[in-house]
Amino acid sequence: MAVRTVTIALAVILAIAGSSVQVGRGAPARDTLVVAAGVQFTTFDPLANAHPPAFSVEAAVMETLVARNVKGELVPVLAEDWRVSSDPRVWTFRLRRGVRFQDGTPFNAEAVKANLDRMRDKSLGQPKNSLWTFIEDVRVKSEYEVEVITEQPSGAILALLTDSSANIVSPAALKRFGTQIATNIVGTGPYVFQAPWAPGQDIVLVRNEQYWGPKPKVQRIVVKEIREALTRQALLERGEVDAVIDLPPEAVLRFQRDPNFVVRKDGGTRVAFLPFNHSRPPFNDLRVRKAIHHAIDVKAIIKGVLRDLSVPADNLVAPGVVGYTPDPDYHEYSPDKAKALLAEAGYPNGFTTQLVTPDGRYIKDKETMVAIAGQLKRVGIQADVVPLEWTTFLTQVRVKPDWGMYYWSWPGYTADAAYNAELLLWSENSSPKGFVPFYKNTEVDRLLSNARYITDQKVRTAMLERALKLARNDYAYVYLWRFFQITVLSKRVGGNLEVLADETILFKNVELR
Amino acid sequence: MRRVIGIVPVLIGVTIVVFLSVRLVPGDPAVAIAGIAGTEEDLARIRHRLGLDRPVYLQYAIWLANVVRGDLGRSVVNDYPVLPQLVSRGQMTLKLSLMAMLITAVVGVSLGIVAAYRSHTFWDYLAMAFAMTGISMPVFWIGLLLMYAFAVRLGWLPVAGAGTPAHLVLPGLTLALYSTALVSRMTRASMLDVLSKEYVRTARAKGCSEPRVLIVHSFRSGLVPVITVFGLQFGYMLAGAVVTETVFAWPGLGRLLADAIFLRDFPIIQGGVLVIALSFVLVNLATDVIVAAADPRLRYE
Repeated sequence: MAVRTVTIALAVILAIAGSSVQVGRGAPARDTLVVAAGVQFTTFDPLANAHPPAFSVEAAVMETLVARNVKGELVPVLAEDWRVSSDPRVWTFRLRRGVRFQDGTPFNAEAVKANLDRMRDKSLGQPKNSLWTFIEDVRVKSEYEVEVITEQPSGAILALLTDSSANIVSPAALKRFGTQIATNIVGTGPYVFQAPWAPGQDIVLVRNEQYWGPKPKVQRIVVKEIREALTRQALLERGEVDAVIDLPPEAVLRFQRDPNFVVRKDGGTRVAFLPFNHSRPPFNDLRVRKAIHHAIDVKAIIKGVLRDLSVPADNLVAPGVVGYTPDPDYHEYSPDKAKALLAEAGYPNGFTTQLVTPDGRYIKDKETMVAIAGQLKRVGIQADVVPLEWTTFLTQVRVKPDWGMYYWSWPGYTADAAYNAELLLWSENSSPKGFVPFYKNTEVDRLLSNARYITDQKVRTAMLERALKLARNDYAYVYLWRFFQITVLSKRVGGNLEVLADETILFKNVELR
Repeated sequence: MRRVIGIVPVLIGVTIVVFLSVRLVPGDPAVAIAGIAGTEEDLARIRHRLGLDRPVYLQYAIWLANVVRGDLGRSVVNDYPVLPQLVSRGQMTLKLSLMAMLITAVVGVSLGIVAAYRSHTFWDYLAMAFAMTGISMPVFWIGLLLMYAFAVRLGWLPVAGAGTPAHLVLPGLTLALYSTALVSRMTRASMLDVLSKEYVRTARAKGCSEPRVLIVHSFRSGLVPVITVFGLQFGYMLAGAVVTETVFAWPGLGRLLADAIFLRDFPIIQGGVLVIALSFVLVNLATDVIVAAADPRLRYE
């Protein structure tokens, strides 16, 4: 009796198991690139807040009018060229002809207007709408010509148009899916997003055979959401995936020694920094901020904790981003100078404060902050490390500013400093309106607000550079290090995998051996 | 029947507690959704869109009214309907739990019987040493160990993911380890108790074969406490096994719920907990029915 029951139960279970959808088989098929990422994929709506691995999926499916290449240069994509007219508020974009969206809808001026109108429509309540409210009107001049009129002359419009929020979506799909475009994207890009897709499932991208540009070599890309780093490592070792995005330093070192794998260290545009609460003592004193800067031995932490997977940062943005200027002498580790500055500021015995850090968001975030707390202790500053889960962290640093210092990192959005600087240095965006930690320098404010309206890129760049230099001299933040974007590839992956400044990975030139 | 009706207040209680507690946790879903570029007006607009600007009791009333109509709402992050997500993730969790319960039933019960029948011999000690290890090992570690041994080194089974029956083996084993250990100890204790009973001695005295003594005379009455433990374990598994699911990238309910908690995706959390509470209560009910069938003395009047 018992035997029979077990047999039946076994048969039932095998039947259930067998009925599962075929998602992950053993080794990847010859024409399929399988990628494992450690983040949670939720939405691909260009206007929703997304993180870099989601940008990579968006960039495979959708395209922008203008884009940045790996060198950071502006290149035409869906727009063939553009010009600003004698009225500096009027931009004309001439569109590429003969392009169709993946659902067959023709790409033309009407499609661009539909997208730009959606982008600037504040009533949608999407987080990136506010980036686009500076556009006053969009006019269809002809089938392939669009005129964009801004409220004020805009110097940042081209840079902004390279942002993932400016991805052009099929207007028919927008109409059909509404807010559910988040899981049903349709664009003009080299790969077609396989819908329906539910959060947590593998993301399947199939080559767009009607693509207007050079056809990608790889037929299918599967992106898997594998949250546990050791599991990602095991999948790559077994050859069940071909590429892994983000691995802890120990695993990277292991793959670096193995000739069967290639470790890519790209970009280095993600700058990690310490924001201070400028609204209260002791951090409202420049000498205290400077003392903390001298007390941190960035190079030792990069070597000891981050295992050389990052390099020292010396500005709010990284080299290659418009507005960056270097400062070779930025990192000067000197506990003596730190102590002297603290004494001068009236804290000869240091003080006690909190160092809030996200937990598990960035490579070794908590560990590096513990190391910094240890170094601060040597100059008398007792910093208690408070690790917080991401949503709590964001809420606390924005809405309840009862912290002293915290730890954060930003990639180089749009490869143009205006984006990050307006959100991190412009006092108008002080918390809770934005994330600026009560830093206020009227000259920085003036430069950033004026740069918005300068269409002469040389003049504009000089203004951004100056604003960032002023903030650096103010020690508005202490810049720590720049993370490389780590991708580990199996030997099967050839061709050219490219990584942009905002950490978007471009798969279209990858080949499989 | 009275017990079935009793489920309703339990579910209402659970949903109220969850509804309140997700709103007490620090961390604002609007801030998470708005990200870095959202302005203060965006925050207000998002809160309004999610209905978070209404009083909590009103939010609950609206939610409950929708649930009664079969509408569990939509994810606040990507507008994806909650119910289909719960169904597809729930199926995966059910598959994994059934696999783990099968292993528990076969391995746990047999180990327990062997240990009781050969009590205080080498086999008993071996089985109980296994049980002790199984109860005390961290799931995370044992999962990675199994993965390393059978997937990375030996290459017999896939590392992680879902799809083929082979994908079910390692997470199934990992999830089953604790309950197998527990059930084997329960079975041993219960069987030892029964085997010393006089009717067992009588059965032997009248010349029954040993397998018959063991299976027909002892096993059935020894089974009752085991079924209860079994039911409880099954209930826990249906609530999702976050750790096992994370290690093996198994798209189950536990992972969905944990992610929803991190994103403060209230509709998913609320719907998920409702489903879990419901399945827990139903499994308990089923357990009681089975126990009553196995032991007539426990039947309700």
